[in-house]
Amino acid sequence: MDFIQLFEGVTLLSVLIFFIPSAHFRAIFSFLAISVMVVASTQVSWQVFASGEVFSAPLHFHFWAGSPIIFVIDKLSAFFIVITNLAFLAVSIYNIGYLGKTNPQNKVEVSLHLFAFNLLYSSLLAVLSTREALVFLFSWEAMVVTSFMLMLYQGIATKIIKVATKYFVYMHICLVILLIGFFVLQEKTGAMSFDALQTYFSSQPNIPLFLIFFVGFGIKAGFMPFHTWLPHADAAAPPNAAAIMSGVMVKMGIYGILRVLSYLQNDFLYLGLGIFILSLNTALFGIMHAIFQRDIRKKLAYSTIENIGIIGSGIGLGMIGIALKVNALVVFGFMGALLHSFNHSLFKVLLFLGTGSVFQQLQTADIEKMGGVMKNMRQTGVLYLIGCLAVAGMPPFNGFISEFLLYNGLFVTLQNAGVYKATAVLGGILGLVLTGGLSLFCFTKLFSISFLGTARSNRPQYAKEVSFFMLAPQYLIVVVMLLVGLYPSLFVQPISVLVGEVAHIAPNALEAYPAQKIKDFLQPLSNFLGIFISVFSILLVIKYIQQNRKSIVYAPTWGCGYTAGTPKLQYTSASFADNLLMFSGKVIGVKKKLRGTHNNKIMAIDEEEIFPTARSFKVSSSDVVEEYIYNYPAAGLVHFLKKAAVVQTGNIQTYLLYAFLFLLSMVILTVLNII
Amino acid sequence: MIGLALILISAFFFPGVILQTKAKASGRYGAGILQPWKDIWRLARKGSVYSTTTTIIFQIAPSINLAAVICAMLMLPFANQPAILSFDGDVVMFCYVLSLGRFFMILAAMDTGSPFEGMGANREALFSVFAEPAFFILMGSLAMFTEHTSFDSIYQHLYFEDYFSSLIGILASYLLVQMAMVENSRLPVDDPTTHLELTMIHEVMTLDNSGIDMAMLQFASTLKFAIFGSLIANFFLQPHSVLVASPVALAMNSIVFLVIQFIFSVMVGLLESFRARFKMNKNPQFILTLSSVAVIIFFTVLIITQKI
Repeated sequence: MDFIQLFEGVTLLSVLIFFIPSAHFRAIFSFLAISVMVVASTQVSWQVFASGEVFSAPLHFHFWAGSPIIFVIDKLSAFFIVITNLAFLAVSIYNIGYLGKTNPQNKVEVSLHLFAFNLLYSSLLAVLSTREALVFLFSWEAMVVTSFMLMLYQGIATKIIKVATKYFVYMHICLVILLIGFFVLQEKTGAMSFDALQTYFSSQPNIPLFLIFFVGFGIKAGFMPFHTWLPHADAAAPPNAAAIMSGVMVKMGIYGILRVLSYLQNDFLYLGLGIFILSLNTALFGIMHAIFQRDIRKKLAYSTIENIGIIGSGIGLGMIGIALKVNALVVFGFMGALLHSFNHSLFKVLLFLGTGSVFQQLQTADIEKMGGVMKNMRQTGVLYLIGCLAVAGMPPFNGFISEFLLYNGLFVTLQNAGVYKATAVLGGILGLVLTGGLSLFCFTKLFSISFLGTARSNRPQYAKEVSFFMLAPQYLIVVVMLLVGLYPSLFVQPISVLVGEVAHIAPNALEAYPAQKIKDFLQPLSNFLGIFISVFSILLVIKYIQQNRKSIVYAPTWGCGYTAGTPKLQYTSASFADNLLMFSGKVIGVKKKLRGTHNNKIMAIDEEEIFPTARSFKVSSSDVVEEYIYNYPAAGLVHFLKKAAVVQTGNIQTYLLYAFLFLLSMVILTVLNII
Repeated sequence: MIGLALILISAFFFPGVILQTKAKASGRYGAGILQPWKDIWRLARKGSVYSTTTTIIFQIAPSINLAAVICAMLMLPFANQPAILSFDGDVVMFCYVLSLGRFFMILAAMDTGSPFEGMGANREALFSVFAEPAFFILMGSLAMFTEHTSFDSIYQHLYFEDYFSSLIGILASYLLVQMAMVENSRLPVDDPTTHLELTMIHEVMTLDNSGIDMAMLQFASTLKFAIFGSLIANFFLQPHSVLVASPVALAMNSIVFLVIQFIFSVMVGLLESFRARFKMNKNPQFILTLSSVAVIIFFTVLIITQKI
């Protein structure tokens, strides 16, 4: 059985899910099917990396006569296949625990969900391994449809259907733009495939077509003005689906951009600068929004946008490096971007799985209703903390390594930079530092409001630790994360080869920074982290020995003399973020409203008011991009169309009149010989 | 190793000198230079009280914080003595490992569920957002000036040949003094001796810590000060290869180092005595000013290296 046969067989056999009796066994079947394909495709990817040869084989079923579908897996595909595999393996194990516990509205629902899940995996593999435009777009469409079905799990609420429809529309705009890109390609080169980009870019202007593809793939990846589908989709989808959407599917956009980029011939400077600036803005915008969200899933979704920004800034830096022939930027930029794609898929899946566990136990994703969850869900809490540390870029976890590579690229470039380059690099450093600082703010807030302190509602007290199947995949991910964090040099070789593939136009870069050099560069980092961990362990031992001999007393938190403290006195999500308003209030459209409790009018407290009446207080934030670029014009259009709907009276008489007038005008026009 | 020993020595006297300076400035005798260490020693022998609200995070946070500070200290060079741990890009690591300590301190404070500690944690998180850019721009400028990216080689190759370039040293020292005040939550950002929890940052975060945890926190805070002191002191040492690593040069450098650390702590004491604390909501603006000083350094470097 080779990979192709397995792919076809397992994809077709996933229909069997519908014939399996219980939800538990369905999930196990789905896991088995996925793990078979994971093993096969990982092996293929491994071979591609080990031998350096491109895997290429035709599928047995055809779309239409005469054109076989060929799976082509090169290193770039193989890398993203590995990312996909890890995430799907983890989530499919998680499904066994998660879906077994939910109360489906009917029996088909779980089957449909798992069926869509397995098909999504197949379609992602197809997206990553096809080059012909039509087959690629077909797989892309399959990915969209199956993820749409995944979102609708338990989606009886109209809100979820609405959001899912919105997602569907966005993804089709994305599809249409990609289609336009391929049509342009067809027009000029006569072929519709990624490989035709080679001839196109060497003969035609590079910027327009690249921009078309960038926008198309950028919608999927969630770059800033195109990101608005992501937070809604992640908040509406069940957490296991959101893990895939946020962790893996946005990477398909990154994959597409890198794929097109690898054929680009010139104009690297402007495109690179553009992507770099856009990405830094995306990162800052994403993280600022993430801070203000109350819903964990929305927080994580905005943090995905932030991380896409970081990945994008790496890509932008690499392109600038190619244009200016700065080898360090090429290598460290692309390496940072690729490694961060890998890292992000790990910790984002981990965080969404943790969110799923909390969601299952508390039936809410609102952090204001959590608090003290750590006490009842210890393992989930620790795993979640590791996810938060990694996403905030803290050593010794994997998020730090990729950011470190980017910083290093910037710092090395500074060394002999002219004034323009230096200022641009300074901007980059500032952007990254601010993003880093804000993500520390965001994730200390997220973790401490939800998992620490005392319970903010009665929900956390009924929470229990989740089942083995839900914890195991999270441990699996943490192991991989620690491997990247502590031994990054293990991952240097494949990624460095990959950089050579993406930036094959600048072969000098890899000669100047061969894999061995990067390994030598990252080795001290591992040593340092090793020393850090040992110092920490020594301190813990000292503390343990000291405390062993002394008395340990447990008492309530000191209330600074105030003994009637309630959980309500704790810092809330909104008050924790309040400090930051003067910095980012405008960007995230924060509105604070004091309302009178009896008349619901907006009433600020007047200075003259000696005994203020009761008020209720509400802070809200809105996505300014969504508001002004999407909702505002859309609302205008709807307004106009409603005006235009005057003619639509609903009276049969009026419609008959319209028909009569139409016929009459036809007669008159014909008589007058106009038509 | 000599550098490490010197940092530890200065850390040993640092808090005492500050307190003594403050006492003298306000007309008191003071408790003696070793008093802070006596406090730490006393705390280290005590039992602990833990809040019933807290989880394991509260218990490991002080150790992580201290480990982070110790590891950051290991990255600092001393004159021509290389740092114990030095690698390309350790300036980034330095900042991030301190951030890790801060991350856990914030979590630990929030773990207690106390509104006061929440306040401190919140402010600490906010100030670190604004303080980090200044450090990165400073280190970026120095990296550009010396064409190296580790503390070790930056200081090895940093020498100010004329008056213009010593301007960088002066500006950087000023910046580092102010940053040390912010990082350690001293005046004018925070007043460690205030009696009102509402106005505190760092002190209020540790309200529930006791025993050896508190000792670790105070030790970490002392070390942090000495780290910033030695970042400053290294500007004024003579590391380059022109001077052979003779015992005389080493002794000279050590004395200069200790004197600068002493001046730094006296200065901190004086600043604390004669400066008022800012209004809490003005602090972010003050901290952002530091970034603009760092940008001035950046452009000074550009001018000196004749790129403008």
